[in-house]
Amino acid sequence: MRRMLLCWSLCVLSLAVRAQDKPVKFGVINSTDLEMKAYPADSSAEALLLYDYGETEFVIVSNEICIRFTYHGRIKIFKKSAYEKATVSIRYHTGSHRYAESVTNVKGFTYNLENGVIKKESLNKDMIFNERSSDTHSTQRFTLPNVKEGSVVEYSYQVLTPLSYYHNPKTWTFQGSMPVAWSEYRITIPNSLYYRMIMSGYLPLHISENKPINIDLAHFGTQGMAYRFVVKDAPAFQNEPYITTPGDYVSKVDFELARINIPGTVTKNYSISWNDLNSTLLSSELLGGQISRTSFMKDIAKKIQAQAADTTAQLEAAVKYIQQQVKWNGYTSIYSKNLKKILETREGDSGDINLLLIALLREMGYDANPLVLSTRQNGRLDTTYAMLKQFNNVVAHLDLERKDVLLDATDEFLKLGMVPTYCLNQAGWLVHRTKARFVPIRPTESDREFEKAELIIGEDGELKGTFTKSYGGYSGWSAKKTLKTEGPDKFLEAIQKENPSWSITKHDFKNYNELNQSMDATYELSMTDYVTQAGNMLYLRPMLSEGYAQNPLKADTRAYPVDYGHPIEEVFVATYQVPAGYAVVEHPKTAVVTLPDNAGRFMYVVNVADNKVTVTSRVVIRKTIHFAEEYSALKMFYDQIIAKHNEQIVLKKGN
Amino acid sequence: MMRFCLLGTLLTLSLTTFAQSYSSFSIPLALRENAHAVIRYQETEFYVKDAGEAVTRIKGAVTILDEKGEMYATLVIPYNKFTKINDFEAQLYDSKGDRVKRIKRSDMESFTANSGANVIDDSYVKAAVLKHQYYPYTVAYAYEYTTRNMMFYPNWKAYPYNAAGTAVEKNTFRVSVPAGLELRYHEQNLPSPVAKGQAGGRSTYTWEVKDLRPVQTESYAPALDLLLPRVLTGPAEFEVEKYKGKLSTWKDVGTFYRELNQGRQALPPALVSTLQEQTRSLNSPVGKAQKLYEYLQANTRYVSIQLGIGGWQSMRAEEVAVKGYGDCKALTNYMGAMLQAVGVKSYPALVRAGEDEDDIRTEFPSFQFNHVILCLPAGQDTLWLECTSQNNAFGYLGSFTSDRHVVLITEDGGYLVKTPQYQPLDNLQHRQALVKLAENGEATIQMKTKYTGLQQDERAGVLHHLGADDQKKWIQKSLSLPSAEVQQFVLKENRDRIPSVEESLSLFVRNACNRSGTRIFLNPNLLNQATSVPLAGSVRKNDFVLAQHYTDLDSIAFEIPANYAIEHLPEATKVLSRYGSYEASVQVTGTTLTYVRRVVMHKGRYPAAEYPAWVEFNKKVLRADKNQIVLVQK
Repeated sequence: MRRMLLCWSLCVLSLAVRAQDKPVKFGVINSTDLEMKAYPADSSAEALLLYDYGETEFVIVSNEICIRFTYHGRIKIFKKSAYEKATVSIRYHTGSHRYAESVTNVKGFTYNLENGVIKKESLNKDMIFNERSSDTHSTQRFTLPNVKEGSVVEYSYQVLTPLSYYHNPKTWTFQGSMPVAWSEYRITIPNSLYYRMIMSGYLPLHISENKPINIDLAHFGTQGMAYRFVVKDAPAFQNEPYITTPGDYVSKVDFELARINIPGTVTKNYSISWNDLNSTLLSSELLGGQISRTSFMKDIAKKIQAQAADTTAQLEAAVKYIQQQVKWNGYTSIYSKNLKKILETREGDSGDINLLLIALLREMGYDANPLVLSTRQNGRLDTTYAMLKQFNNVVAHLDLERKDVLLDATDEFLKLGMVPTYCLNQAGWLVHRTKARFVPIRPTESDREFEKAELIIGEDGELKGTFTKSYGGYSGWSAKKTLKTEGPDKFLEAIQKENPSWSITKHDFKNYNELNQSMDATYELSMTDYVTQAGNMLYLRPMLSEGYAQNPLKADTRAYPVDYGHPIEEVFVATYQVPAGYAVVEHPKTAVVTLPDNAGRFMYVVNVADNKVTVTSRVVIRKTIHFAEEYSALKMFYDQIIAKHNEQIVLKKGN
Repeated sequence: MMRFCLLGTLLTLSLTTFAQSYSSFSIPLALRENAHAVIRYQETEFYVKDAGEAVTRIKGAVTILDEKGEMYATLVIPYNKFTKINDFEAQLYDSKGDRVKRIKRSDMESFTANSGANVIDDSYVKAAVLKHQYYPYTVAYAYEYTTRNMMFYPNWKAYPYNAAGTAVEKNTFRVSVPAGLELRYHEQNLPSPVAKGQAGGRSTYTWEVKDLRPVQTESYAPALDLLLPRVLTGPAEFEVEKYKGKLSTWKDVGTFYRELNQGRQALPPALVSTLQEQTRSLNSPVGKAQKLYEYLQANTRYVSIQLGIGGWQSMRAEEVAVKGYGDCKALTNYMGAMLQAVGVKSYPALVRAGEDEDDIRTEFPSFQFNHVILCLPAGQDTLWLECTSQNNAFGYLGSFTSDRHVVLITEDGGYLVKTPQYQPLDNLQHRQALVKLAENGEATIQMKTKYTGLQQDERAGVLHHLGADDQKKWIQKSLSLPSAEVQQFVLKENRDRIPSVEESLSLFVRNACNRSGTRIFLNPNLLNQATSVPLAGSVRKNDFVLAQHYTDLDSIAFEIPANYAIEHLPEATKVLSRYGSYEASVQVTGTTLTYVRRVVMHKGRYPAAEYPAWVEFNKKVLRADKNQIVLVQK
C-alpha cells in the first residue's frame, strides 16, 4: 500500500449498459442550488462546481475527421473571491482549415434568487470577446453578467479540433481548484481509431460504463464504443510543497492514439506496447532519423578522439564541445528537426542538444542512445502504459561496463554522469534497436554541504577566525551556477545578507570552474551574534546560523509523498578556542537520531579538550521519497535536529 | 510635397546607411566595466504629422556582453488598433562585427499583451529574438510605426528601459512638430538640455546623451525612473478618434477626461427609484454614500476591460447596471451616477495606482495614470472610494492609491490634489501573548494580534480570499516559529474607516525555548524578529526610501517552569533615530517574565549621507531582537 495511486485499466470497466440522459439540463435550474449557503462537504469553499460535463465525439466536417468537444459547466458562487470563475477563456489553434480549431455555440446564464424569485440572465454577444493570443492561437473570452455571492453561473461551448491538427482528445480532470459535486465525462470512439485510455488519481469512479454504439462516420466506419465516467463529490485539489507535480496526483482520464485501422486501407500503428513505442521513436524522422546520420560530426569526432586519451576524457570533451557549440534555450523536448542546422544556429532545446551529443558519441564509436524521460514538473512516468506523450525530455545513455551512464549537454555545471534535478524522476525509457528497456534514473550525486569553522572566542563575545563552506553534488551544481551567473560580488553579498553579524575581511572562492570538485568558499571573519555575555558567563551558540531554526515541513499532515529528488548530506564541524581563564561548565550531550529503514540519520557531538571545543553535526537524508505515512516521523526528525542545533555551550570564568 | 519627400527619405534609410563598425571590441573600456549590454547608438524620432497622427522611427544597435544583457536580444514592438507597424528590420553581428543573421517584419511573431484571465484587452506585441551563442554580439535594429492615439507622446529614457547594467555610447531623441503645434516637455536629470531647430516649416527638438556608464542598483533606493535622465513629452493639443483635446494644464487633463466620458451617467429609472427608496431614511451624504457603496460591492464585480478610446472611455452606467461588471472607469462612473441619483456630489480622480508605483510628475500635466477612484469632497472629511474592490472598507484606499497625487475631474476641469497618508498609528500591529513554557522546550501560546491600516491589508486579503483550511495553512506558514501547530484560530474583521483585522491564535510549539543540560535558553522575541539589515556596502550613491509608516507593539508574557531561576536577563534596549524608534525590555513578576517591544518607523526619503546611520540603527535592532534570557535549574 506504499503507492496509493489507483490506476484503473479499461478491462475492469463494467459492461453495464444503460441509456443515460444528462442529469442536468442546460438552462434549467432548481432553487435548492440557489438557496445553498455553503457546501456541506467543504464549508470553506469559495465556489462549487455543481456540474462539470464534457463530451467528446468524432465527426466529419468538410471531409475532415474532427474531435468535437462539448462542455457544460455550472458553478455555485459562495464568495466574492470566486467571481473570476465567471470569466472564462478558451484558447484555440488558428491557421489553415485543416489545422484550425473553432469555438462555437457559446451560451451562458447567470441565476440569482431575488426575493424568492429566480432571476435568469443570459450571456449576450457583447459579453463575448475574441482575442488573438499569438500567430497560432486565439482566445475566446466571455464574462457572465450580474454575478453575486449566491449566484449560480452556467455556460457551455463546443470546440472542434481537426484530427490533422491534434489527434488526442484533451485530458479530462475530475478535480480542480474548487470542489466538484458531479464530474462527468463521455466519449464515443469509432472502432477504427484505437485509443489508449488511462485513468489515474485517488478518487473512485461513481459510474463507469461502456457500450457498443452505431455511428455514422463515413470511411471511419459505423461501429464505435461509448464510454461514460462519473466522479461524485470530488474535493478541491490540494497542492503541497516537495511534490513532483500536481498532475501526478489529480484524478483524470487521458488519451493517446495508438492505432488507426480503416477497413480497406493501411493500418497505422502509433504506440501501443513499449516495443511499438520504441519502434515509433526509432523510425521517427525527428528522433531515430536524426541520430542515424552522423557523418557531419566526423571531423570533430576524430579530433576529440585524437586529443583525449581515455573514455572519461573523451566523454567529457564531447559533452563540453556540444555544450559550448549550442546554447540551451531553456526548453525540453525529445525531438530535433535538423541536427546539422542546430550546429549552425547554435541554439536549441534539450532534444536538439542531447540528440546532437548522441550523434557525436556515435561518430566517436560509442553505442550512445536516447533515454527519453518525463521531467519532475511533467509528472511521474507511468510504466504500465506506453504513452508517447508522457515524455518531454531526452538525455544520452551509454552502457559502460554494464553501468547505465546518463549524459546531458544542456548545462555546463553538470559533472559527467549527472543529470539536472528536474530529470530525477525515477525512470526513463532507453530507445534502442535491440536493448530497449526502462532505465532507472538514480541521482549519482547527493546535495552535499560541508562546513568547517575555526574560531577564537573573545572575552567580549566576538568570534574570530575562518569559515569554509564546501558545496558538493547538487549543491555544488547550483552554487557554481549562481557564482557564474551572478558574479562573486553578488554571491558574497547574498552570504552577507544571510548573516548580518558577519564582518568578512577576506574571501576566497575555489574550484568554481572544476566540475569534478566541490566548490569551496572560505571567509576570514568576525561574528558578534553568537555569544551572549552575562557577568562572568558566556553562552555560545555553536551552530552559528548554520543550524536548523525552523522546521522546513510546516503542515501538520500530508496527503502526498515528500520527494526530494536526491539524497541530502549536511556536515558542520566547528572548533572554538575558549578564552583564557574560562572553562566549559556545561555543553550539549551527544545525540543520534535515525529515521526508520536507514532513511535518514542525524548525529551531533560536542567534544571538549583542553581549551578547545569541537562541535560536529551531520544530517543525512538518504531516501529521496518519503510517503505520506512517513511524514510525521520526518517532521519529528527535523524537530529533534532543531532542538539539538539550538543548544548552547556555557563558559564560566574561573575564580 | 515637402512632407512627402521628407518621409520618403526617412523611409529609405536602412541600417546599412549607418556604415559603422559593429565590432564589440571598439567599445570604450570604461563603458564595458560592470555592463551587461552597451547601447552603441540609438536614434528615436517622433515625427508629428498633425494633431492626430505621428510616426515613430527607432534605429539602433546594442552589444550584448553577457547573459544578463540578453533582454536586448528580444525586440518588442507593442501595438493596438491605434498603431500600425510600417517597417522593421534587424540584424545580428558577431563580436568581430561580421553579420550572422538578418530578419524582416515577416519574421516577427505576434502575441497578445494580455496579462490575466480576468482581462479583456486589445493590445498586442510583435516580437523577434536575435540571440547568438557567443558573447559579445551585437543586435542592430530599425523600425517605424504610425500612432493615431495622440494623448500620449513618448517618454524618452537616456538608458533604454531605465535598466541597470547598461552603458550607452550615444542615444538621441528628436521630436519634429509641424508649424502651429506646440511641443511640451519635461527634462529630468539631463546632462545637456534640448537643442531646438527650425526647418521646412517644422520645429525640431533634439536631446542627446553620450558615454553614459552603467548604473548599479542600490537597495532601498528611489526607482531608477526618478533618478536617470529622461524626457517626458506631450502635446498642447491632440486628437484621438473623433475627440479633440488640450493638454497644457491639469485642468486640461480633467476637461478632456470629462468630455470623453460625458453622457455616460444615465441609470435605468427603476434603479434610480430603488436607490432613492433605500437611502431616503438616511440624512447625511456620508450615510447615503455608505449605503450605496455597500450596494455597489454586493452587486458588481471588477473585470478589466481595456477597450474604448485607448482604454480611457468608460462603459455606460446603464450597461454596468445590466451586466453587473465593469472596469475601474465603469465602476467609478457607475458609483458616481448612483450618488448623483440620491443627490450626493462626487468626482472621479485619476490616479497612478500600485503599492510600488512612484507618484506622478506633478510638474508635467499629462496622462500618467492607470486607474480611477471616486472622491466625495468635503474639506477635512473628504471621502475616497475604491470602486473596483468588493471587500474594501468604506472610505479606505490601502497601499494601492493612498498618499499620492491624483487629478480630480470636476465641472471646471482637473485639479491636482493628494489622497490621504496613513500615519504610524494607523498602520498598527499590536500583539499580546501568553506563553506557557515547559521544561522540554514545548509551549502553548495564546495570542491576540490586532492589525490595522496598511498592516491589515494582507490578512484582510487572506480572510476574504481563502477558505478556512487555507487560512489556517497561511497562518501556519506566516509564523516564524521553529515548529508550530495552529490549534485554533479566529480572524475577525472590523470595517472602520481605518479597517482592522483581529487574529486570535492558540498554538502548540516545539522548541519554543532550548534546554541545554541544566539551563533553558529563551529568545523572548519569538514572534516578531528582524531578520535582515540593509547592507552597508561601499559608498552610498542614492537616497534611501522607507516605504511605510508603521507601529509594532508586542507584549509577550512567559510563564516559566517552576523549578527554574533566572540566570540572565537582557538589558533594556532603546534605539532612537529620525527613521524610527525601537524599545525592548523584560520585566519580571513572580514566575512571569514579560517582554515588551515597541517599534515606530517613519515613511520618507532620506539623504544618501545618512545611509550608514540607518544601517547602524537596523544592526542595533537586529542585535537587540536576538537577546536571550537564560534560566537555570534551581
